[in-house]
Amino acid sequence: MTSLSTSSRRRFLKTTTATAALLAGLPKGWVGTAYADDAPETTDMKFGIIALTDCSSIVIAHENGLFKKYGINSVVSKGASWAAIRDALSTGDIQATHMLIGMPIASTMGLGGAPKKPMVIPWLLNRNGQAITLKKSLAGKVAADPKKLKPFVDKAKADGTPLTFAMTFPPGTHAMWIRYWLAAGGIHPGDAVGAGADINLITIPPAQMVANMKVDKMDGFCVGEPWNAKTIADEIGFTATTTQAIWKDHPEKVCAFTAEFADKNPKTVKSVLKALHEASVWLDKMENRTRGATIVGGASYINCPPETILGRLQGKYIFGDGRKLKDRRP
Amino acid sequence: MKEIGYKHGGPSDKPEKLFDGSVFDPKADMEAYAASFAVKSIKG
Repeated sequence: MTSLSTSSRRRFLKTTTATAALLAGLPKGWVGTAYADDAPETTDMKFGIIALTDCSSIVIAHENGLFKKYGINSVVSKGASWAAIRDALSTGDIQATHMLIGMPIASTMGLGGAPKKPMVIPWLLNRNGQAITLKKSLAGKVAADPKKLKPFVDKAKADGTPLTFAMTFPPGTHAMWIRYWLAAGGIHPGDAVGAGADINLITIPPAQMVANMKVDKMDGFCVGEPWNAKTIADEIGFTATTTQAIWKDHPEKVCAFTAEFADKNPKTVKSVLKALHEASVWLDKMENRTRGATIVGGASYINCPPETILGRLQGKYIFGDGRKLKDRRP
Repeated sequence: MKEIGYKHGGPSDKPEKLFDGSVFDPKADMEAYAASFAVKSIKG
């Protein structure tokens, strides 16, 4: 180390004193190299997630210290259902959340059985990555084409025991995927209260899909990964089709805030988006996906073996009925 | 709009084969395509 000469020390002291005087005049909130103007208004943030692979950007931003980098003290809280997540955001228990793209729209319009609560969605977390699963006994008889399912639906209806299908939330994407797929096969999914339906359509939280199929409560469902892959791993069902085969590159999950929070905390929202941006760039690199699957597979997040999550994250689709696909846009 | 890690190929109006084997052609008759759906209304 080079020692400072007396004159150098004097210059150094003069410089640092002047700098200290300048710093003293800065507004509160100066953090490291960030100007006070960039500092978030709210630093303690609780983020909601549902146990799904597409919550990964939020989890990685938390686990890799990216929220911290932008001045946010983050806590990630796993919700039991989409309705619980929506209510927690509406009441302010959580400040931002992983959400189905249709939910903030429904909340803003006052639809879906909850009071009207305007929400904003400044960040799209992912595209694609959902699927329609059918029970194992239909493997080899039905694949991607729902017209092959119709005879089974018709017979069950005539017998007075209609087939049951599940989705995750009425104004959500999975409801749209399963309704569209069934209708494409001439199977009426019913109106908002089920009138006119050829089948029963029920709402089940994502992480409970596999357990409900195991106890024979349903014949098929639409949900995000890894639960379609888990059904195959558990040998109780197979993937009929992926949602990207229904709508290529469709929008899926978002990071939502209430409009009230975003209006009061624009710098906080900006900080969150910067962290999600970095997490998304990290996750987008194929070489990081093994590590990513290990992190999000943990008990406090998805609680699923990483090897079950990883395959479809890498675009390697094994449908469970003999079909395989290398999907370039998993 | 900027999308991370995804190179968008720009708009395409090429025919596309869908999950059930049917073909959607953006240049074809849209009315006929819509009328071809087995279920046309979710009204009960």
